[in-house]
Amino acid sequence: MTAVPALAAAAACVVALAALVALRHAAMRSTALAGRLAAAQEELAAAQRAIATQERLSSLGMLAAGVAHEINNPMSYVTANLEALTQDLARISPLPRVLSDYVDDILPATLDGVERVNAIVADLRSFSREDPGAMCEFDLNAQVEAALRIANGSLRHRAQVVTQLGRLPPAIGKPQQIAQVLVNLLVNAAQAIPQWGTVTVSTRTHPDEFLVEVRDTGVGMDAETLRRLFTPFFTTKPVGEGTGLGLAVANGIVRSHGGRITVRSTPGAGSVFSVHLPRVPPTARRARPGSPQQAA
Amino acid sequence: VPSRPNRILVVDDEPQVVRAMERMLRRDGLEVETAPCAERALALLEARLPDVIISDYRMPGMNGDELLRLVAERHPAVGRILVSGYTVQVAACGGASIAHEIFAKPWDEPALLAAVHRLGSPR
Repeated sequence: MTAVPALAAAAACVVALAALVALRHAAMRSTALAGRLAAAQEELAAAQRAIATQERLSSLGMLAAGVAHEINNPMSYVTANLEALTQDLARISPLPRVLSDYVDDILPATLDGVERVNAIVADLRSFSREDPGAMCEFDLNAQVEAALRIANGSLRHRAQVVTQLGRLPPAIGKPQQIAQVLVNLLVNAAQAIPQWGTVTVSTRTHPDEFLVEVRDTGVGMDAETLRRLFTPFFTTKPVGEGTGLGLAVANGIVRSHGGRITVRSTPGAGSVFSVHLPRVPPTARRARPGSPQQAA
Repeated sequence: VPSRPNRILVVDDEPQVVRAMERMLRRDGLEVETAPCAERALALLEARLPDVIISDYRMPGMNGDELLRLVAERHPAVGRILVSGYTVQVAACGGASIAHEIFAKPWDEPALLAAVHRLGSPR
């Protein structure tokens, strides 16, 4: 009967071995699980940070939109009246010394300050995310033209504007938001040009997406600027000229349409911003598009 | 006949904006009428037609876009300019705005005057 205890011992050994193997597997599984858990926790934390940032930006945007409108009304007549005063005084000659100081120095400096305030408010306004309404069918080329009209003040002193608008089927999305994206890109293009250059805007369509390109012959961007381009509050513009919100907002809008913005840039030669928009945004696939909003 | 506009109608609910706009246009040799709201503007239009109407967007009662739609319907020859503190929102209506030109507040004076002259000249 010596075989029985030996067999029993062997069996116990096998059982113990199996248990050990199972334990090791469990341990490996739990290590893997712990790893996945850590990764999931990190993902969750990142998502929470993103939501917090988004919430902060969105409430700032709502506040900015309201404040901007209230500031723009008085600033419109303050600016116009200062310009009128400057022009009228300049026509009087000879001007008493005390007034010529105003014409030569004080009023231009004041107007400069006013222009800075106006520029900041314009940036904040473009950050607004008021209820943009439902997605609807719209003419992408018409939005490009509207954006060009709005950005005209920034463009006309800096660049020759070339438009190459392709024949496009109706797009689906939030037209006012797309116009906002394009205004931001056009103003940036103008500001990237030091003296005089060309801004080319083109639209075309591919089987799955629309492509809008804004190309400038400006100063271009280095790798570090490209890396931080869409980070809120990042700006390379002088104090008073940029809030660092324009591209962050533009990116958010395009992503909410299921699209993306890609950038190519050569320092000293210029940049190309490409807005890729899906022909049908994912969020619009289930809903029926609204009625066209086009008018004469 | 000189191909330049004579009469401009300015519509804005903020009196100081109206005065600044009026001053700018008069300095340019234009005749200006003003209205504090769309309803008053429509009444003035029935009495005598301007060459160009410049309207604010947000006003109590009818907004600027609604006003310009009526102007386009009833008096299509009148040039239509919309001026707003909410530019992007107006662009909203997008290419769809009935205005010939849209300007942000504060407006760019040379650009606005150029638009007035272009739209007010016989087309």
